[in-house]
Amino acid sequence: MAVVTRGTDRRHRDWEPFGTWFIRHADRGAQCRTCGLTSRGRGSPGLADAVYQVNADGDLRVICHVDLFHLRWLGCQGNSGTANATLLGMSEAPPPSAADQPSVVRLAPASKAWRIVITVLVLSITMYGTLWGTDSDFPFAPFRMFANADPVNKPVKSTRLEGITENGDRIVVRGADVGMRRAEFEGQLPRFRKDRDLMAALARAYERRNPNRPDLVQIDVVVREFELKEGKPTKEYHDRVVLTWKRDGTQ
Amino acid sequence: MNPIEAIVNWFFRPIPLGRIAALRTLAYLFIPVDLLVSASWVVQHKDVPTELYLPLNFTDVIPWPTPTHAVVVTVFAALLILCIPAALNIAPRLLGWPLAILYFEWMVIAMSYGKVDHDRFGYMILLFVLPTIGKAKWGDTKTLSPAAGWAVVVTQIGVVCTYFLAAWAKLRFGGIDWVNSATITRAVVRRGTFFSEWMLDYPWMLRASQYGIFAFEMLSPIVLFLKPRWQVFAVIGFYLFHVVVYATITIIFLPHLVAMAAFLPLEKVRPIVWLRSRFSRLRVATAQ
Repeated sequence: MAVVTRGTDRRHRDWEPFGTWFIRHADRGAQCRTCGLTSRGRGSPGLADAVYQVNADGDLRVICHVDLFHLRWLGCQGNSGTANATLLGMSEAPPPSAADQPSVVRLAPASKAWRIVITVLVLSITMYGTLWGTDSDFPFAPFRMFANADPVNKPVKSTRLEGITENGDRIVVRGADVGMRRAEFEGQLPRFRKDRDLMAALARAYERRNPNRPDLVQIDVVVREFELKEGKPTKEYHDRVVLTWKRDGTQ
Repeated sequence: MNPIEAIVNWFFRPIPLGRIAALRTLAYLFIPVDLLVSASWVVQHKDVPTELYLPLNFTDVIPWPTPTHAVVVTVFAALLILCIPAALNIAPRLLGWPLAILYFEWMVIAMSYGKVDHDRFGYMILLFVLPTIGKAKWGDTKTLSPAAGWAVVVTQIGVVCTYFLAAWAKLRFGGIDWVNSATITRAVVRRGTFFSEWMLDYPWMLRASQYGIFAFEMLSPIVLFLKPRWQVFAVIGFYLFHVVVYATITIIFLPHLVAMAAFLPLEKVRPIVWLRSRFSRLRVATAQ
């Protein structure tokens, strides 16, 4: 006879294991037919409305349905069994064995101490990062994604790169083409402004990621501005080239 | 019990080791998902010339390798190889420590090019605390461990920080007026979807969602102190919140969602056992 413990099968969820038996608790408010005792529902041992037995396949067989209100749950709250006579064999069911009882592993004071020290340390640095840190303080940077308050009447900017290839074609350079996300590129924009030659690194990244396509001779940083009015896009936008890099060095 | 003792005990409430085993499988199986799908952009940094690498501040103190092509590819491969045995609960400490450090390095590679994300705080904490616990068996609900309790609680704190400290960052960078700003409008303009773009015509809805987000983030620490049963309900609510965010602005904090599973009684989730019992029953049925 297999013991199916709670949680191994969804069907058994409502039943308490009792050795190889299962007790289903009476619903809250159900009353005993003989004495009128009211069930407080789950968590009130001693008030069961059905007892089941499990066979080797893990299937449940209903043993008895009725008058089980006064079934005592052996080993629980010190109640000893006065099993109902209709429950054949109930009192013979083995009490839960010691192996089924949860056991708590001990943790030495020193092990607790270093864990507490680490917790306090990491929490303090994280708080510091939030209040005074910058992005460069990662992993303790402030949690600032979407933290800026964007004005309701200023245009929403979206940056993209356009390139001119050796063949003279104008193409859109996607993030994956240069190995950088849009936001990363936007983050480095001030650097590019200061030192335009740095954009040559973007052209090189493009060559590495697109070895079979013609190289770029020019890269334009294009900002698309979507107009906002009281937080509502006016459907109007315009593109502006804010930065241009040319391979031959001309501006 | 004095208050300090009570706080210490709160950190070390014993939990079943089965939860740690399940969290290991989940956390380590997520590594390939993250590397190949949810953050597949990180590996592209291998092709970015190192002039565009912006070293993080901690590398002033701790010497740290510049992410050259070779470094990025090596870390990528090592993560993909080590995570498989680790997900199977093999050598949890021996594999867990290198995985935590390698993933941290992966995040350094990710965040050193001009944009820093904050969606992985809880997940990184989870990776660093998992190897502080020894062997754990799947489905072990009987062995309760205070060390496992600490690991789970600090991961939960990391998850809550991601919300709570994001609210503080909003106060710091956006000011209290953040709730009335066009931040979500901007997000929808830049990365909106079918589910959200119509809302651009009703700015008050987007503004209301900002009030909701701010309140939710500020109140999120409450979840730490709920009874386990209510924690489960709250966390299901959190998951739904992220689904809605994904549907509207195509942003999903997947690693954060993995770490959030630390709130759930994962020790009771036994997919392989369920499948096996389903099959054995099927076999009995066909034999008859």
